[in-house]
Amino acid sequence: MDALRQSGTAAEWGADDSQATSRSRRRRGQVDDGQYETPLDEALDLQAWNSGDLVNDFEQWDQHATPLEETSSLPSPAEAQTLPPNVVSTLMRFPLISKRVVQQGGKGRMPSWYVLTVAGNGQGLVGVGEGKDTENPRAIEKSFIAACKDLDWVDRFEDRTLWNEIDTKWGSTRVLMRPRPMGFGLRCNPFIHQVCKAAGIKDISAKVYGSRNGMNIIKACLRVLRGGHAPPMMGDGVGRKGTRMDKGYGMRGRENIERERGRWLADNRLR
Amino acid sequence: MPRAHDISARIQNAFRARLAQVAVPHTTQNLAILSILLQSGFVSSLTRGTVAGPSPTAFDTCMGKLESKRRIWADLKYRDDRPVLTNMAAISKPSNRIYMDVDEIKRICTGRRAAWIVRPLQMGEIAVVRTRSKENRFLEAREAVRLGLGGEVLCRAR
Repeated sequence: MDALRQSGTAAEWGADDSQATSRSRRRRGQVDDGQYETPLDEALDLQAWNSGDLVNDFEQWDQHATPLEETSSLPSPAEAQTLPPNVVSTLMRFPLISKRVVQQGGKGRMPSWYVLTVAGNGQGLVGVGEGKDTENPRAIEKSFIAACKDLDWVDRFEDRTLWNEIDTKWGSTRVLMRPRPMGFGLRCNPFIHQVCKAAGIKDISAKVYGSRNGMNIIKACLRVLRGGHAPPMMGDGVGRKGTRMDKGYGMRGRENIERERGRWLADNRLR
Repeated sequence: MPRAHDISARIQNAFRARLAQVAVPHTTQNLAILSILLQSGFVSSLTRGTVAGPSPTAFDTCMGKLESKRRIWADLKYRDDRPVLTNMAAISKPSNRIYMDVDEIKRICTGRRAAWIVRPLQMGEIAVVRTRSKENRFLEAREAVRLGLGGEVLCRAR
C-alpha cells in the first residue's frame, strides 16, 4: 500500500501522500506506518474485529473505532479520481442533494450521508454521480468522482440551447424542456438550472409535472440531454444489462439527422 | 380517401420492430406520402408489389390484378442500430379534420402552434399536406408554404 502511494498514479499527479494516523491506532500505541510490530498484534486486531469490539458501551455502532488503518482498503479521493488535476480544476461541481440516510442494522442505526453531485465543464460535458459515506465531505468527494466518470457530451444548437422540445418521464417526474432564443436565459426548475449551467446550455424554458423529486429531475434531464452511444436494448454490448439511464434515444443534433437521412436539412427560416 | 392513420401506424411500428421492409396498401395517397418520406430521407426505396413481396412484374400479373392484393413496399433505414424514423402520426382525424391555410402552415413551420392543437414542427420533422391543386396534390409542409398552397394536414413524421 505504501509503495503504491509513493510511486503510483497519485504521486505522478502530485497528490498529498501524508497519512493520518487513526485514533484507534494511537490508542493502542501503534504509531509507525505500515506493518504491525508482531504477528500477535495483527491477530489481536483481527480478533477484535471478529468479536465485535466495534460496538461501544452504549450498544451502538462506533463509526470511529477501526482496528486497521482508516483508509487501508479504500483509495483516497485523489487516487480514485480518473481525470488529471488540470482538467478536474476546470470542472464545475454542484452538490445538489445531500441527505442523511440511515441503515438499520442488527446492532442499531448506522447513519451515513448521501450526496448527489452534477459535474460539468460548461462546454457540453456533464455528468451526475452519487456518493455515500459516514462523513459529509467524503461523500461529496465520492459523488464528484462518480460524476467525473459519468461525463458525456451534450449536443447543443449554437452552443447555447436545445435542438428541439424535449418531453421525458422518469418515474412520476415528467420534464418538458423547450429551446429558446438567445438571451432568454434559464427559466426553469432550480435543479434543471444547475444541470444546464454545468452542461453549457444557456437558453431554455422548462416545466416539471408530477413529482418534483430532485434526484429524479436531474436523472430525467441527463438521460435525455445526452445522445448516448450504446445501441438501444443491447446493454453495454459485452453482456451486462442495460440501465435505466441508457433508455431511449436522447437528443439528436442536426448533423446526426442529416447523416442518417442522407439529406441536407434546408435552412427553413421562412420569411 | 384520407386514411393517414393506417400508413402512419404501419410505418412507425415497422421501424420500431426493426423490419427491413414494410408493405402498405396501394393507393394514390399512400404512394404520395411514401414519396414525400423518400424525398425527406426516411425510407431508401419504394417498390410496387403484392402481398407476397415486392415485385413490379407480379404487380401486373395474376395476383396483382386484384386491387386488394397490391402493395407498395418501402425499404426502411437504420443507422447505428437506431431507426431513422421514430414517430409518425396522423394529424387530421375523422373526429377532427384539420385544414390549414398558408399562414397557419407557416406558423407550424416556424415554431408556433396553429389550429389550437397542432404542435409546431420540431427540427427534422415533416408534415404532409393534401392540397386542392391538380399539379401539386400532396406536398410537404414547407413546400406548401413556398408554393402558397394550403390544405388538409394529414400526418407528421420525425
